[in-house]
This record gives sequence, C-alpha cells and structure tokens, in this order.
Amino acid sequence: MKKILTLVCVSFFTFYGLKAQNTDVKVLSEKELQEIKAQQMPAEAEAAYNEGVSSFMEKDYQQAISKFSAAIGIYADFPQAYLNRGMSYAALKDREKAFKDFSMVVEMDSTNSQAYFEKAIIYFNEAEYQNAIDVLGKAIEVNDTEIKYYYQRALANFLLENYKEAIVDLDRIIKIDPDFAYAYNDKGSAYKELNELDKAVESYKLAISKDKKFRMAYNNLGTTYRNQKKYTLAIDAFTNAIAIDNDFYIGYNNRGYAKLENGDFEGAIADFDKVIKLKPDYAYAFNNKASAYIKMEKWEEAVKQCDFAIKLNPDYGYAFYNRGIAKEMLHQEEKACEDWLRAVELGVETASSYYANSECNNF
Amino acid sequence: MKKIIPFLLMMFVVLSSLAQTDTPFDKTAFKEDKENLKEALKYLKEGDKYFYALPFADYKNALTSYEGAYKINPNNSTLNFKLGICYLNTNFRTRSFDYFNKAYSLDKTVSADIKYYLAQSYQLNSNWDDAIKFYKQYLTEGRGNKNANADLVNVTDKRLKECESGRTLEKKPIRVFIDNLGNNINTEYPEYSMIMNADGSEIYFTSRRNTTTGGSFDESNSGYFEDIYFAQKDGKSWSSAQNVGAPINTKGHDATVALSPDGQKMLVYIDDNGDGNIYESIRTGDAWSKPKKTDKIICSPYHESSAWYSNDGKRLYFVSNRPKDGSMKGAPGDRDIYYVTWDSEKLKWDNLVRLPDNINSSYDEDGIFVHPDGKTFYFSSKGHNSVGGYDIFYTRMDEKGNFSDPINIGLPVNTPDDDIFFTMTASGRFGYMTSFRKDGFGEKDLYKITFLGEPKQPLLNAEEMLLAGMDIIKQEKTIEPIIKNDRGELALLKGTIYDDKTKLPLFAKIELYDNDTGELLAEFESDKVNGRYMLTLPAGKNYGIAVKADGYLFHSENFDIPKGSDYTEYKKDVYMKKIEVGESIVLKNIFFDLNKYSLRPESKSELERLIKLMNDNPNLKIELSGHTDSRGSVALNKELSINRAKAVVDYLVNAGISRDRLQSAGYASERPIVTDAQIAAMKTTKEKEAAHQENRRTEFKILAK
Repeated sequence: MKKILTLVCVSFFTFYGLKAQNTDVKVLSEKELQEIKAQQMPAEAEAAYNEGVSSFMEKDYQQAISKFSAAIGIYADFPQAYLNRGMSYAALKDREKAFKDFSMVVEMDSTNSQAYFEKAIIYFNEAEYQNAIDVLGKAIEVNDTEIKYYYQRALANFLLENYKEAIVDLDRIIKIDPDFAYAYNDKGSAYKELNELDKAVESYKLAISKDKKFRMAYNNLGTTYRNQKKYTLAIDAFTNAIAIDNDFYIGYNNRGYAKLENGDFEGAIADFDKVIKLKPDYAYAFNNKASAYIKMEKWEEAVKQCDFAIKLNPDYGYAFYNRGIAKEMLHQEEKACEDWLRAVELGVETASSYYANSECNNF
Repeated sequence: MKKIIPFLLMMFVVLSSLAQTDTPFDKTAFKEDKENLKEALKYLKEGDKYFYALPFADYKNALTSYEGAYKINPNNSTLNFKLGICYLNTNFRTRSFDYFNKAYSLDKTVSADIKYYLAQSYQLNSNWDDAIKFYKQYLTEGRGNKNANADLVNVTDKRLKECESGRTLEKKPIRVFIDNLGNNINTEYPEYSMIMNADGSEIYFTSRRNTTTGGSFDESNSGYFEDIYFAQKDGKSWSSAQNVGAPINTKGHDATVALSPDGQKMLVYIDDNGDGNIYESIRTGDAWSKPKKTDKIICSPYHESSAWYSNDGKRLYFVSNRPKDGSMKGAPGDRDIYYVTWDSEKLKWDNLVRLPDNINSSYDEDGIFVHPDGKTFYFSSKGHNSVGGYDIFYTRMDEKGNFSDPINIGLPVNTPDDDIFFTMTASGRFGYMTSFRKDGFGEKDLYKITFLGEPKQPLLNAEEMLLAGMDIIKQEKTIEPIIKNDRGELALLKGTIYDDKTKLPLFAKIELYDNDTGELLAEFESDKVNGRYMLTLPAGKNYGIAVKADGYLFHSENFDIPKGSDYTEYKKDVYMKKIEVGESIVLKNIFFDLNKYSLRPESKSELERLIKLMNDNPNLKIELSGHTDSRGSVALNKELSINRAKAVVDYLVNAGISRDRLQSAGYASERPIVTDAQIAAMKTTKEKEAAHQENRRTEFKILAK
C-alpha cells in the first residue's frame, strides 16, 4: 500500500481569495514523501501521525496532540509532527507549547519557513503585530517567494498604521503575481489612510480591473471619491458594489452618505431605509437618516430617527449630537444642551463647542 | 367657444361695476344717508384738527377720528391717504400700506407724493422690489413736479439704497430666535433701552408705564414719564420687573443708558430740560447712588443720549449731536459717536476723540454697546447699508485700535423700521433689543434674540472594509467640523470674595495682569456689601489675577484664554486668608518651562507681589513648595518639585529677601488638590486635564510672622 502522509496547514489564507482562519490539508509533495521514506519512519509513527491529522480535521485538538505526540514518541526526528502538534496547541490557545514545537521544527529543519509563519499567525491573532512582523521577516529570509508571508506582514504593518511599509510588501506581491487583486485593494487602502487619495483611487481601480466582481474594492473606491468630494463618482462606485451584492448594506449606507453630501436628501433617505430593511439593528442608518432630515430642516423627524439610533446604541455619541441639533431648532435648547453634554461625554469634541457657545448653563 | 365669449364679457361688466370708486364725503354720495354724512364730516373735522395741529401733528388722536369716518365711507382716497400718514407715524407703521394702496387705487393723483408713501409702506413691509419700483417712479416724476415734497424727493435716493440693501441682506438672513421677554417684563406700555451685566443675570430697562415715579403724564409726547426698572434671572425666566426707585428715578424722565460689565456702575440719561445728558450712578450692594453728571467733556450743551463703558473701564463711548469740528458753536449736527479716556491722575475723563468716518456716517448713529470681549462694538445707524431707519451694526477694533468697516447685523434682527438699543451677553449667544411686534404686549417691548450661528452640520457614520485579507468592518474616521466662533471669544469670571475664617463677604481690589507683558490691564473692586465681582477676560491673553485686601494674603488666579477660545464662564469664590502662621496660598501665576525648573518670564508679576509681601512683613518666614501631578516617574516628579521650589527661593534671595526667611520643599504628587480617584471619576478629558493642572502648582506657607 502506498503511504500517503498529510500535513495540516493552518493559516489566514492558503490560497488567493480565502479569508479568515482556515484549516486545510496539504498533500505532501513527492520530494517531501521521498525524504520521509528515506528516513525509514516506523509504520506506527506514520499511523499515529495520520490519526492526528484526522483528529485535527475533526477539531478534536486534544486527541490530535495526543496522536502527534505518539508519533514523535515513536519517531523523534519528525518535524511535520512537531509542526502539526504546534498548530494543535495553537488551536487550543496554548501559545507556549505551540511556540516550543515551532522552535523544534526550525531546529530540526532550518529551511522550514512554515513554522515561522504559523508562529507569526499566533502573534497576529493576538494583535501582537510587531512580533508577527519580526517573525515573518525570518520566514521571508528562508523563503522570499511566498506571497502569503508578504501579505501577512503587509496586514500587520497596516494594522500598526505603518502604511508605507505595508505598501512595500504589497508591491513585492504584485511583482510576484501581478494579478493579485487583493494587493491592489489593500495598497489603495494604505494610500487612503495616508490621505494620498489620488493614488488610492488608482490602486482601487487596478484591483477592480483584476477582479470585476470585487465588491469591496468598489466600496473603497466610493469612499475615497466621497472623501474627495466627487460625489457622483462615489455614488456610481457604491452602485457597482451594490449591483454585485444586492444585500450589501454597507454599500447602501455609504451611498446614502454620498447622496446626502451631494444634496440628494430624498435619495439618501431611500438608501438608509434600504439599510434598515436589510439590517434593522444598524444604528448608523438611523443616525444618518436623521442627518438627512436635519439637512431638510425636518426637525421632528430627525429627533425620531436619533431616538431609534440611541435605543439601539445608548452610547452613540453622534446620535446625541445630531438630536441636540434638531432639538435646538425646535426651540428646545435645554434638551439640546443635555444631548450635547452626553455627546461630549461620549467623545464628540464638536459638541463641546456647541455646549459652550450655546450658554448651556445660562438659559 | 362661442358661448364662452359672451359670458366673459358679462363677467367683465359685472366686475367693473363692482370695482371701488373714489367716494366723496358729500351729498352726491350720501343722498339717502344724511345722518351718516353728518357724522362722517364731524369725524373728519375732528381728525383734521389733530392732523394739522401745530407745532406737532397728533397722529394718534387723528387716527381715532379718521377711523370713525372710515367706517362710514372706506372708499375715499384722501381719507385713506391721511390714515396711511397717521399709521406711518404710529407704532403700527406697516399698516399704512393698506391705506396708501387703497388711496392710490382710488385716485392715482390723491397726492403728488403718493408714490413715495406707497413705496415707503412697501419698504416697511420688506417688499423691496415694489418699493424700488415706486421710489424710482416717484423720483422720475417728483423731480419735475412742483407739488411734490422736495424733502421727500431728496431722500428717495437714500431710500432706494436701503431697499437694495434689504434685497441683498434678505438673501442671507441670520439664524435667530426672537422671543418676547414675557409679561414679567413687558406691559402694554413702552419698554425699551435694556441694559444688562456681562452674564445677563440682571437687566435694567426704561419704561413709560403708569407706575412711574410721581405718576405724571408727559403731554408733550403722550406718555408717562420714563423710569428705570430692573429684573433678575429667576432660574430660566425673569423676576417681575421692579422700579429701581430713588435716587435714580425722579419725577422727570430717567432712562437707562449703560451698565458696566460687572454691573457696579450705571449710566443714566437725564433730560435736563431738553439738553439731554449722561449721568453716572454707583452701586453698593443693592443700592444705587444718586446719579452724578459726567464730566463736561461728555455733557456738552448739545444732546448726549447714548453711552457705554469699554471693557476695561478706561474709555467711555458716547453719542452727541455736537458740531463735528468740536467748536461747540452753531447748530447741532447729526448724532455721532465719540469717546473719552479716563485720566487716572486727574481723576476725570479726557481726550475727546470722534470715531472715524467709516463708523460715523453722514446720518445719525446711536445706541452704543461695547461687547465684553473688548473688541466688538455694536451701534445703530441710519447710514451705511441700513435697510431703513436705524439698523444695528457691529465693528471690530483691532489691536492698534482701528475700527473695521461696520457690518449690518442682518435680517430679521434688523427691520426696515428703527432697530436700536441692542445688547448682547458675553457669550454672544443672546442679544436683547427693543422692538414693536405683533406678538407683543402693546407698544414697544423687549425681546431676546438667540443667535444660532451658522447651520450646525450633522455627523454621519460610514463603515469600510479596507483590507481584502481580513473581514474587518471598520468605522470610517469622521472629521468633525471645526466650529468657527466669531462671537464670544472670551471668558467670564465671577464669584464672591469672602474672609476665609468668618465666611463673610469681603471688599477687595482685583488686579488684572497680562502675564506675557506684565502690564496691569485693569483694576476692579468687589462689591462693598456683598463681595460680588465679575470680570470679562477677552481671548488672546494669559491673565494673572491678584485679589488684594488689607491684612490678608493676596490670592492669585491664572486664566490662559487663547485666541479663538470658546466662551467659558467660571464661577470662582475667593476665600482670603489672613497673614497668620500656618496659612498657605497657591501661587497660580508662577510658570516653569515644561519638565524644567527654570522660571518663565510670565511669572514676574506674581513674584513681585510675593517680594512686596515679604518686604511689607519683614518678620514673615515662609516655606515655598513645589507640587506635580501624578503622571510620570515619581522620582523625577520629586526632583522636579524640589528644584522648582528652590528656583523660587533663589529668585527671592536675588531680590534681596534673606535666605533664612525662606525654606523650600518638593512634594511631587504627595499632596494633590484633586485626588487620582476624583480625576478618574471625571467625565471629560478637559475636566481631567484641568484637575491635573490644578495639582501642578507652587505654594507658599507662613512658618512664622
């Protein structure tokens, strides 16, 4: 019987297009198999290893650890078993043991970049982005052609607001794979955060050119256009995002926002209503609808919508701020001041000026 | 179609027969109704007696009579014209339109000036386009018409400009609420010329109500003699207005002019048999002194009607119709604004200056009000781009003392009629004015204007998913709008000064310094009876405040009010400590460089006060202590506090104070005024920062005396 060994791979993405944490099974290459065969691994070790993989796939991580440990016990020079056990520990949030196994892998096989990567993933998942970046650097030293290492590092840098470093890694990915749409999108986002909006637009457009159904890129493009006050282009981009996914409530909310900025208050309200239909607990839509009513000077309606938003989120500073505006115009200055004071407490700085300048302590 | 034409013709004939025609008061129109004619003629005769009275027409009584005639015959062009004129000369000026319009429709030649009056009544109703149309027609026709009133022809160009201004300003009205002050203040009688202290907690105004002192009626202008009334803030409303009484109010005309920002001095107008002068009264507790005529440089033989103190009390602005050349000879001119400066050596007002021509137009100015921010100056003018009558304008004085060109405060505060006697709270949020409006209690009433500022922009939320590799939905950063605060860039400081031990109110002197220059900006006093004080601190300065009373340690406060600051009101009761062993005070105007112990130059005036105290009390031995907030390293804070205390001691020693009278100590954050727990419980970052600021301080304590 032909022996088939499998490796468990846990990563944020193992292939382009997959997102979030995934568990996958990797069939070993012929070369890897030959190497293992050459080591004359006992059949019991192999059997225990394969059972470990099965347990891992069934998310029975404790059992997986037991089986991989058994395999290691039979055949100590077994880096794949250490790697998989390390990943099983990681799944059980036992970081210390996971790290120990990954270190063992590297000690046994200095060319194993996967162990670094898995270690980096643990750091990343625990928001220790700088540690993740450092370890990914080691993975890249060993293997400088693996896209996912660069991508993971770009994400970590992005989250640390090291946008320029993120762009460097994303450019490396594009060089390796010029059709990798995600890299263009994320590069656009890095530029957006750097407030280099023209470059952001260019990158988002490239992302869309690589993937015509890239909803997120359309949405980001729309947001960037809105920040540039190019409302018609923004509305078109959001419309394209919505066309890809009719239930994309974020797209409707963003389009409503752009319509409001463009002076189309009725159109904005229609979009916010659509959001509320798709996601009735979305407080932002109620607050935004209130904003449209404020623009239309329909103060009672604005108060009503803010009330809904506050009911959904009693700590929603903007809703208190906006309700204050509407109440002031209803000649209920005292109540407006109460709302602005609450908004200040919730971190809305502008409300502080309104509170002070409205002589809220002296009606 | 054939059937429709005869029908339309018939309708035209019927409607034409129904159209009003000019109906005379004679037998031809009253063939069957001689009694009514007789009665109407009686009304007309009575009305004409008042209408043509000399030296002044009595339009109010003329109106009553003419209205009697009007009930009998409303379609007489001359009667309608006269009613229009009467209404134009009452408080119900906008009603003149109906009568002028009818007079004109009955007879387009009822008067050579009918188009002027019709235009004026359109103007009073803010119908700018029609007003312009008729003014233009009147100007074209009136110039060649001997019967036209030459005075009216001459002012028509001005009226046209007013209407153009109205048309322009109407496009961008200011956002305000205008509310009647209510029946605790306003009555069926005239109320006007309201003045108030800086925080708006007390108001004074003039009224011609039947409770006037002496209860006399002034026949010359058909009203009770003016008296001054006051009211106080009672929660959210006003207490019932009370007559201020003697010695301010007399049997004659006594009218409000101005109140100092701290409410301790009042300027009063006294008629002085038609001369019109400005008097000053000083407050002690709740009592006002007998008004004293201000210096001759102000009270000329000409008419002075309005005045206001500058924020620091060093200038007095006033209005006078004295000749512009300062000759004090010849006929009065139009009303202009002047100011005089207080000479603290001669103890009198001096150096008369007429404000420049960009403020004083060739028309009347009146109703001055200097805002507590010290730089914004409100006044009323019939010139500039008034939309009719007096309009309220403001100008800003720059640091060199130059006044910007005046800006019309805008519609709907300004109307085509007279808008005058405007005041504003320190915050710039509330203004008060006199107005005659439909919702009033009768005659002129006092109104509160709430300035809403530019439309407040709502804040929206959006979400974005920036990273394709992660399912992170993130709230998009929203840039909150920057609030442009063009009014009320100042702080108001008020409170009461007490003796720390007895807790009784204390009279004290308050010195206001510019810490950057060391200049003494102004001196104030607390009320001799109740210890109250109030100061306005215009933005743009780091203020040092020293409160001094005989036998007490001085008390210092620091208020750094940067330019563009939001209006802030501080209530600060001050407890003065006697010079006794164990007493300590915080030296709030001692400043150090950040994380260093080198004294900053702004500390100079405070240090000088300390030196004076030590020199005045040669047996005094004190401890100077440094305190930090609880943030940062404890060791570093300790070192910093020790060094800062030493720096103050060294300064005093260099100034000649014996070192053996001085001890220094550094307590870091060991003795906070506000504890960390109290700070943690505070809601806003601003409050927390203020608490940390309070903990960072230099103190001195008396060890021996």
